[in-house]
Amino acid sequence: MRLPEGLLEQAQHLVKREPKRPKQASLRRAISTAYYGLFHLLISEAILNWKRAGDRVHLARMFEHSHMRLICANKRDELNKELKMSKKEGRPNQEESVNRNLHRVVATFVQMHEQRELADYDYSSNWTRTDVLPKVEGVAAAFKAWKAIRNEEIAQTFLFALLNKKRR
Amino acid sequence: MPVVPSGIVSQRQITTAIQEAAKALTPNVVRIRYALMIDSTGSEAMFFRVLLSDRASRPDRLYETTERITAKILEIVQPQETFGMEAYFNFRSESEQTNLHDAAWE
Repeated sequence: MRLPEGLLEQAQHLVKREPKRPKQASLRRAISTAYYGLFHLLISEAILNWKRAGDRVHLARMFEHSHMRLICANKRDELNKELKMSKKEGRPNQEESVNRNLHRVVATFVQMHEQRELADYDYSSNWTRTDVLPKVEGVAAAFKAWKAIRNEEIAQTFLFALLNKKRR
Repeated sequence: MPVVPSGIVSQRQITTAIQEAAKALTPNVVRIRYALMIDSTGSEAMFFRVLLSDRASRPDRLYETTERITAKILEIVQPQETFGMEAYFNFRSESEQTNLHDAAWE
């Protein structure tokens, strides 16, 4: 099993680990681990495009959480506009389906990035299973959505943007 | 997390929109609370706390339920379009809140 799928499976385990009284540690780690599953899924997909396999591990270290989140938020906003437009024009097609799947991935990343910050660092609130379970399932849905579009042009362009900070 | 000073955005406008969303989401949603705070990127954001009925919190359909509720709140409140803010969502069941007695969720 690859690291991203392993992390998702671990998050799914943690959220159900104590059936009666879930421990805060289990719920917080479930959120954090699910986020890292998605984070590593996107990185592992992006580095596959680097031809020299031996360099991929070094390339993987160049991705940054906050930059990835920014790119995901921008892509989500762009897709929101496109999906609204295609709804208005009533053009159901393959392109819309791809856009919806990519939207799921990027919107989940933005939401989980913030939730991970809260789960890891914020003592002010208690986590509950009702909150954590759908968030972990949301990441699982994002994995599925990504796998449906991973070879599409728009998905590959998005992967490149995750690394690319500036144009000269 | 730092709280955004009131008055920067129209709290009344937000409250009205949230009340409308809560009404549209009954009986699955018992109430919606929110806070304007600075998120981890340093931007103002809306943090929604959505209290679900126990019936709506059944684990077998919880994901779909929270997705539907999130979409409805975004549609009615329009945090980004109207207020230029990111929105984050947390959910809790009535039973969980009864056990926790968390003032922020009352």
